Amino acid sequence: MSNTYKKSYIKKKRLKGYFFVAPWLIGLTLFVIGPIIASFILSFTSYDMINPPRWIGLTNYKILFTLDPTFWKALGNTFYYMFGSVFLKVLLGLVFAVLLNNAGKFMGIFRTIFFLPVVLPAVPVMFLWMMLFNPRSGLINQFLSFFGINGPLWLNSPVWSKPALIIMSLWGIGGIIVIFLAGLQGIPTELYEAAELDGANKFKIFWKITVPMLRPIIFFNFMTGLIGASQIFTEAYIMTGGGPLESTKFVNLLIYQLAFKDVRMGYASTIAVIMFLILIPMTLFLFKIYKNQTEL
Amino acid sequence: MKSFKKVKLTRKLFLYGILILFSIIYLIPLFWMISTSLKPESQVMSVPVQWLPKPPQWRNYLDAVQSFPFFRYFSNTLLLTVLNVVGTIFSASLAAYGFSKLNWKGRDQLFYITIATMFIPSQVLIIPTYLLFTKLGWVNTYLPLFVPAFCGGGAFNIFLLRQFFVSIPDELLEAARIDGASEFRIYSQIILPLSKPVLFTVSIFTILFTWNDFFGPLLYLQDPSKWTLAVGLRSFQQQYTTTWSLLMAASTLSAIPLIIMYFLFQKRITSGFALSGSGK
Amino acid sequence: MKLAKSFMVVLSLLILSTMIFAEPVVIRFWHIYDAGVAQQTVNQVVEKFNKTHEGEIKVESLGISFWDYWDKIRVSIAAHQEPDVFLHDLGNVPMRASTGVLLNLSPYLKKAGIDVNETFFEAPLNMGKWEDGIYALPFETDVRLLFYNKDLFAQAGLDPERPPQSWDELWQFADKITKKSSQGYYDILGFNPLYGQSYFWMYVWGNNGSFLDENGNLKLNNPTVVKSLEEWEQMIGRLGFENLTEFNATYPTGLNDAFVNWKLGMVIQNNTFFSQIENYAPDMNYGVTQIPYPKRPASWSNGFSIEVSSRSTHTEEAVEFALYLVSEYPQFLFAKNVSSLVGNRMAANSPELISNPLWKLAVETLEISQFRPFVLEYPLWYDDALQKAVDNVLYGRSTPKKALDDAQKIVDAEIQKYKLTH
Repeated sequence: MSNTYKKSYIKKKRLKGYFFVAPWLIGLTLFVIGPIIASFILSFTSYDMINPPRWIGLTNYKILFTLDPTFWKALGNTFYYMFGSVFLKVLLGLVFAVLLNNAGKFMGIFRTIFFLPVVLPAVPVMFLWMMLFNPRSGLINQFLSFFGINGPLWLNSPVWSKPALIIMSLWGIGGIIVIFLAGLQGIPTELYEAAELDGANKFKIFWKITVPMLRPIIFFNFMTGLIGASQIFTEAYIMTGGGPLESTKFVNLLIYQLAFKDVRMGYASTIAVIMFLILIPMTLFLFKIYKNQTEL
Repeated sequence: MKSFKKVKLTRKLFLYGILILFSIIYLIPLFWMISTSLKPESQVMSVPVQWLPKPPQWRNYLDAVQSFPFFRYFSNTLLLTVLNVVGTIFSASLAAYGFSKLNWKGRDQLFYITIATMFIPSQVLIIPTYLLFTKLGWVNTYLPLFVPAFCGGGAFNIFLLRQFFVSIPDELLEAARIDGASEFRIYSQIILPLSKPVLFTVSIFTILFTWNDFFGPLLYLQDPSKWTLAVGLRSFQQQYTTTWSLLMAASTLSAIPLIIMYFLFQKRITSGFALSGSGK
Repeated sequence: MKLAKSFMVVLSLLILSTMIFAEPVVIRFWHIYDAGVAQQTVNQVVEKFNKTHEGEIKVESLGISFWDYWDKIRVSIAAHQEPDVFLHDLGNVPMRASTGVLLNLSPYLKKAGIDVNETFFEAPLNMGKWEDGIYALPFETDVRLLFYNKDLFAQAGLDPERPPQSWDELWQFADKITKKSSQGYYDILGFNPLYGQSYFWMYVWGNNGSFLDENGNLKLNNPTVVKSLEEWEQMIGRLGFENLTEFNATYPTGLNDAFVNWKLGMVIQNNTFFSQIENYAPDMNYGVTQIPYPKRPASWSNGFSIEVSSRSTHTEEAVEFALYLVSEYPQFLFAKNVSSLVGNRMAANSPELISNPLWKLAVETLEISQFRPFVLEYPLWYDDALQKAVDNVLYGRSTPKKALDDAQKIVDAEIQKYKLTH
């Protein structure tokens, strides 16, 4: 090919490339990058949607750090839920995946059962669990009273409300189980056989072979799980309204109330920005570990 | 040898025992939902537990559908879901093709940025997006709830599709290119048909996401006639303040389409899920 | 001469034709009455106005369901597209008045010769005031009363025709009715201070207390409030806070309401609660009375207001319609059909309505009822800081004095926040 032809060929290819990613570029600019920049800018303003945004510099940040204990409570609540839920989900998911992996021809049936809750619509599931957690007539407390235990007030208790939400999230470990199952099936059986011949018991095999082989998947799901859990909103909105005693006031709920009920868009953006500045480094840190694990 | 076998047997029994126990535990909530939906309200909160309705009150479903515009909300949800699936498949696959089968300046950098956006927490996006839609006058329409799907459909789907496209051998495309086929033809007539499994996975994820989206409709749909099942059920719960039997009937109805979808496409759904979490 | 004459004829014909074909001024009116009797009544009222103002003013009325109304009106104000006349929350008028979006109705009321103190009930009227003007007129309001189950009274050996006359008597009677189950929870409660429309702030008012100091500023930790919280804590501690919470969770409102299900002997509820009793428990013999009090009669009210946009292009006509809405006949019609209290005194005291004892009681109570004071810098002070203090005490996390001191700190911080950002 002559040089000029090659050049225009490459140019054409480039244009074609842009053409294909054009819809995404629009989405990226309008719905991701634009908003991020806008949030940062808004965080320096006071904006009630009636009058135009007013620049107030770092005032929102000052307020956040000195005059707003609610935000820190919300942050603590969110972290509590994030780590509590994801740790347990990953742990239990792994355990059950291993159990299912050894269930032979019945694996399919069990997998169907455990995965079913994952496809049920979210909002009805929340209503269902509100019933299950009812202090007097709910299944959970009635079950506990069988053993003479006086169940807590669950969603009506400032201490047990978050554990209740975590327990509810565990109903959905089917997703993680399926992911780990696929990963387990990627582990060559020769490793297991060799270990068994060496006389290793099940626990040793689990810790020394299964877990290390699955480390990348575990980390990836831990990471994505944390980010997903940090967004918790609908559960609190529908089931507890943020209470009692603000025990389920999560950051997204706080932002929603500030932005769309009190219409303090500037301040709400400040909180959003702070969350961004907390979660992104955390993600990068975890991602670094993940990369290390995969390289091993 | 005998004791070894015995150990193995007890181990297996133990294993199955735990699995069966937890299977029952995991199925109980679903059972409870259906059972409650058929109970006369007076039996719903009974102490001690009443497992089965005496007698099953099928008219709860009739009452629920009469006091709760189930079919309207269902069709609204369906409409949004279809729009989102079409938009996502279309724009995400276009982008994925651009990222995998074409060479252009800045491609890899843009792709890394794309991946990075998967990890952006949504809080920073909500408010400006809402303000944008308010300015455009799109509040109280469906537009904010499906137009983003046509603008790439989310980094995650682009990522999934791109990984799949990469695995399609380039020779297929080269042959077509030599024959003079345009890139778009190659995309639509070669790549897409070969990608049915992963397109299916993307569709399933989009369906689940749209069906469950509560925040979007909460924010953008003020007119009750436009509501989806998610916000509609919530409003029903507020209005009828916990007539649990009716609420569970309405809930069961809104779960049925998804359950049917699950049992029809179970293998595809679970394998798609597994693929998404593999992190490759 | 002939030319001038024909010219005059043509001119007068032109003027006449513009009068005949002149477009009436359109006034948009938004409200929450989108269904049932309320909607019919509002439509009737609007139609009458349109008839009597045919060719001059045409009111277009839109009813939006209660759940959606507040977002819709807020968005419309933000978009500068609000209606000329609209219903809004009588409890937070300064929030809108201070932004300039509401029209000051004082001059118009004076011009129309309306004596506001005679025409409207005092408490609701005051809620519509801000600085020196009146920015909202009371349309619909309510009070809280004590409903009691005469059958449960009789069962407990109490005189069903004699409701409690004092706060102490309330508890005496309640204890006779209360029954605990063998498992330890309350099967029947005589009275639950945390149920229905019973709230701590009303108890404070019943103790002749206030949340404002002499200057009208929020002072949550003043001595009467602290003392009230201590008594509140005792009252609830005696029954057991966890037991009460559990009770509340078992009997949410609606079909499963405790009073309606014969599980609660006495309950503080909205004056329109009787319709729920007739709906869900038509066989119950019940009575209504003013809420007993420790020191001073107290009840609390919320309400809806009629407000006019300052940005309306036809303020004269909008005000005329607004004044009509709160005038005697429309208010009387609304009260009669919907059975809810209205802001117009004359309408509320009309003989036809007063002959109903429950209505008479509600009107009498309105005269002593209070609204929660509105604080512009911190509108949700009662739901946020005060409720937090009460919760902290009831959950055993703090003492009344400390909790209220902390609450006051929050109030001061919020006021500071407001000043920094406004």
